[in-house]
Amino acid sequence: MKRALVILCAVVALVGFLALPFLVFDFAPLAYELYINQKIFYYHVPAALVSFVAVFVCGISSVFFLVKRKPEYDDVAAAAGDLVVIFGGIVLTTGPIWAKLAWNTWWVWDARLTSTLLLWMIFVAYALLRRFGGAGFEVGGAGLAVFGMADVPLIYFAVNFWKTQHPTNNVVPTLSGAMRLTFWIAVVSYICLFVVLLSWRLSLRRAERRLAAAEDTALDEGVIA
Amino acid sequence: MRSSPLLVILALTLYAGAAHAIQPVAAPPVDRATCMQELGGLVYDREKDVLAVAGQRFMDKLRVCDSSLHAAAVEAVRQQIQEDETAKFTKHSRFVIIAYSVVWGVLVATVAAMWWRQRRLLDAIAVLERKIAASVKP
Repeated sequence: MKRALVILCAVVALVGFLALPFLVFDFAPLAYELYINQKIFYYHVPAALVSFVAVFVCGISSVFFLVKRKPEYDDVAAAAGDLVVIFGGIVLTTGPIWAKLAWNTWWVWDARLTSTLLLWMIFVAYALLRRFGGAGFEVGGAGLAVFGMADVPLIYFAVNFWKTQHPTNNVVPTLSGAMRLTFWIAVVSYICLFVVLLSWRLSLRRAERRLAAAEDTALDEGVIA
Repeated sequence: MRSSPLLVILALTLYAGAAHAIQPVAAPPVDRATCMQELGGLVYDREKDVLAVAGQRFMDKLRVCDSSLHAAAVEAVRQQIQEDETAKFTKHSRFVIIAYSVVWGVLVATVAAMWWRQRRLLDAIAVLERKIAASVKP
């Protein structure tokens, strides 16, 4: 069942990502007031949504790990943490490209952009520490992930709390029919891609554990020094 | 019945009179020099005028003064707008393509890195398990 779900998600993600350029450029109408740069929206916003999903998966799994201390939760958290870096990286590169066209500047230090960068840096630190921090960093990493998760509401509501150059959260409900459909196809494609990558990253974590077990056995047997 | 020809003549006279009455009155010939002088006197007051309205007033006056020059000015503006829009479209399209390339590049690099890591792990596990199996054999 789980494998079937992952295969289904892989197919949906592949079809979605191949269809998206045609949907974005041919199907979705041009937003005249924003010109053609608005087309970046269909990749930028879904990537941001999925990075939030990844943060919550990482944060909630970390909470479960802190409470129950089961390594399975830690594996899910570590896998999702890596994906925050990837999807957040997409957000933080497509955003400035769009900003250069829409605002005539690559970056402004407003609350939405700065808090997003901060979240990404927290998860880069998390991924680096999980990779190079050595044994015993699981608990500290879980704490860092929970801390990072607390940044998400701050990012989401930043446009309401502070005066920012970034558009508000009310853009998606105002989309016209074809634009809305294209946007939600993009969101579904991204979510399916996230499920596939998470599953794959989890299988890598299991392989890492299997390698560690094999190394222990080999040491015990005197096969390796 | 005898009054029919008179009625026809009356109707034709009324029609001719009406047709003459709705003909546009020919505009008086324009003295170009005077007209251009008046054109030069047009000003744009940013406090009172809308930019496009002031421009339209200028173009209307120019058409009255010299219709050929007006047509040339319209063509020049049209060409300039076309060039500006083409340049803008090209620049924006390039940026959109760069953004999409970044998305695809990051995703392809991620998949490639994970595939490479998986291969390395599975190779290492296979080597170790072979060594362990060989050491266990008598």
